[in-house]
Amino acid sequence: MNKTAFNVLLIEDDDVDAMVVERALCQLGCDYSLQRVKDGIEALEWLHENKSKRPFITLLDLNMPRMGGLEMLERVRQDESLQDLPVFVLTTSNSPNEVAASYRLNVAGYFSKTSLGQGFQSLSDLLVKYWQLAELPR
Amino acid sequence: MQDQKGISFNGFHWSHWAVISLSLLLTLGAWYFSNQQAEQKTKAQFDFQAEQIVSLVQERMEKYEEALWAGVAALHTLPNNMARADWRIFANSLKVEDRFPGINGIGVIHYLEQDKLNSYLAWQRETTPNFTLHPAHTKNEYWPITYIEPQVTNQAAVGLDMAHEINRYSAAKKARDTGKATITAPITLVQDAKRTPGFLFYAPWYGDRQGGHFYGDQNGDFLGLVYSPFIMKKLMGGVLTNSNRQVNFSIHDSGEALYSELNESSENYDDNPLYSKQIEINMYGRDWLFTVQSSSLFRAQNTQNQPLIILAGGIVIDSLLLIIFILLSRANHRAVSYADKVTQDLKQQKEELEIAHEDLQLRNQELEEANKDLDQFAFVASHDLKAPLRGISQLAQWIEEDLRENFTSQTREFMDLLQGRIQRLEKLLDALLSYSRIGREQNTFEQFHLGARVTELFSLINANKAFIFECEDNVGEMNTLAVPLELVLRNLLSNAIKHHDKGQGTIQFKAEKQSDHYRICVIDDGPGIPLQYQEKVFDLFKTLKPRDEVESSGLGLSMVKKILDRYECHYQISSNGERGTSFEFEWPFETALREE
Repeated sequence: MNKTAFNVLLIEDDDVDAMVVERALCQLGCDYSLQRVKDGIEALEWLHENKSKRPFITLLDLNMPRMGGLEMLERVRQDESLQDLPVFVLTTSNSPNEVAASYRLNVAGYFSKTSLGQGFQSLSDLLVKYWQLAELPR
Repeated sequence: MQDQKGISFNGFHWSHWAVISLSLLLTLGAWYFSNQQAEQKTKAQFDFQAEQIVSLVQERMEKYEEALWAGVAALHTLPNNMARADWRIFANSLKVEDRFPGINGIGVIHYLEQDKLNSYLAWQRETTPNFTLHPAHTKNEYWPITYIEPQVTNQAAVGLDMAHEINRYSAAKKARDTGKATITAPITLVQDAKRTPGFLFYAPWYGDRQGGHFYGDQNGDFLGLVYSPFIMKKLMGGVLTNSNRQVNFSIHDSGEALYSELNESSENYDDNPLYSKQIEINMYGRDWLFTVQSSSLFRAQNTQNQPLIILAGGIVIDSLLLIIFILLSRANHRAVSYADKVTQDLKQQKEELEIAHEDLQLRNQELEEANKDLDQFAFVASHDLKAPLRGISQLAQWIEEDLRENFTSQTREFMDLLQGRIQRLEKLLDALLSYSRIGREQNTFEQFHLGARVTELFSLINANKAFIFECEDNVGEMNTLAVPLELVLRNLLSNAIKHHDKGQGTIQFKAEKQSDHYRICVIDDGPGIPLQYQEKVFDLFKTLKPRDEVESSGLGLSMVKKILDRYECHYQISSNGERGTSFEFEWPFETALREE
């Protein structure tokens, strides 16, 4: 069980969506620390610089400028220091191809923004529970 | 192409040459053969003519011989001391000049030995006072011509002694010794003023009555000769006048010319005769050599035109053959070049067609690419449009949450409308996305029961259970691409319910297996589709009612159409324009789908 603050890395280019996530976490009223980057390249840089901050979970958007989510995931899985990273995909697309591609890259979950509905409340609930209950690699 | 106007042998087949050569050979052969034949025939003709001349001469000589023997016979019947007058009567009765043309006369030669000369002379002088023997010679026997008739033309011969000259003398002795008619070697007759060749023809006269004191040998056996003198020219004139004869000839006796027509002055003489031959005949003790040669008349009459006609005719036929072959080969040439031209044209047309086909393929490819681009565009556009739309939706919600207390009723309504439009746009984008995804994704085969699957689908769509579903499935278990088929069925079923005007009704589903495909039909009892819209319903975003009344993307049938087109299925929408719509489509068997 994780006693530390809920550590989240949000990789999302859309400011509104980032706000939605942050607001949802905020509304839970629990202790959390959110780090946001805007694309895959920034994310990889941050991950390499902040290995000590583990454990944390990653929320990854797929459709982003410079480096998209799937490409970034591939690099993470090839990188020995990062390949055990738990990643949840949170994206606009509900394309079966992208769902399948994501799970092939061992994501912990795939969520479509459209089907989550307004506010992502259920997602933040799930993630906090997951954080509290799941054992994560350190 | 060869020059068409000139004579061209190029089109000749070897068989043409063979036919022409053979017929030329045949012509030459026929010509040669007929020439041979004609030559043989001419030769035979000439031989016949030559033999005839010889036999005519022989025949004539036989006749003269007869006359001589007749003279001998006459002598036997006359008295011993036959007088000149008696011989004249005989000669006259013989009608020598009429019946024996060519004969110069007929006479009697008495044979007398030395001791009878005086008595003989005395006897003759009784009737002819100046009768003498001439010319003088030293022999001890005498062969004087005593009588000769007609005497007038032969006066010079009267009293001529045969013993004076060797030819006359030896022939006379030969006649006496053999007892046969005999002729002399060529001599010149004393009565011939022209001094041309001639001969004497003797027939010996024997008797048993002791020649008396005047003539005959010692035994009284041999009495003398009956003879005829012949001037060769005259003889031949009588025998065979040289008029219209096909041969000329000459007669030689021991190299001495007796008679000759073989010179320029003869009638129809041919100095380069076609034929000539020599025939030797024993003529009463002498060997006569006949040299016979063809005359110009023979040449004229026996020159055979037949071989030449055959040759000319053959050559004409060969030329005609050649012309026919030339014409044929030219016609053939024309036909071939026409065919070539047609082939060329066809080839050109084919090339043009191929070019057109390539163009078409290129166009198709371009079109496919354009379609792909469009799909890509639709996919990207709808995908990328969704993110900002989500933002708008979220922001509108936050604004609503923050300002809820201050809303007027109108603001409330605007807010609801805003959210409604946002949702509609989301749905449109979703529909557009799934439309563009058709054919982009690899579909997998799945085994399921059609009736069960479609009933399940229907119950999901017919959430409030307002519609009755009648399923008439004759297919049952099938293995097929589940995703596209379900997409089609879902769209058709939801259309049937969504566009129903009464909010409740019956939807029928029918499926059966046909010879090479499944046949599936969805029938509703809704309002139907007016005839003028039955094609348009497949257009993108097409709806027949405002979206505020019936919430719809307008992409349902477009998707159905796209899927059915993708798998090359026939489909048909039918509605009488009043009530009910039936949508029928074919679905390929598993094998056909796997072949793709």
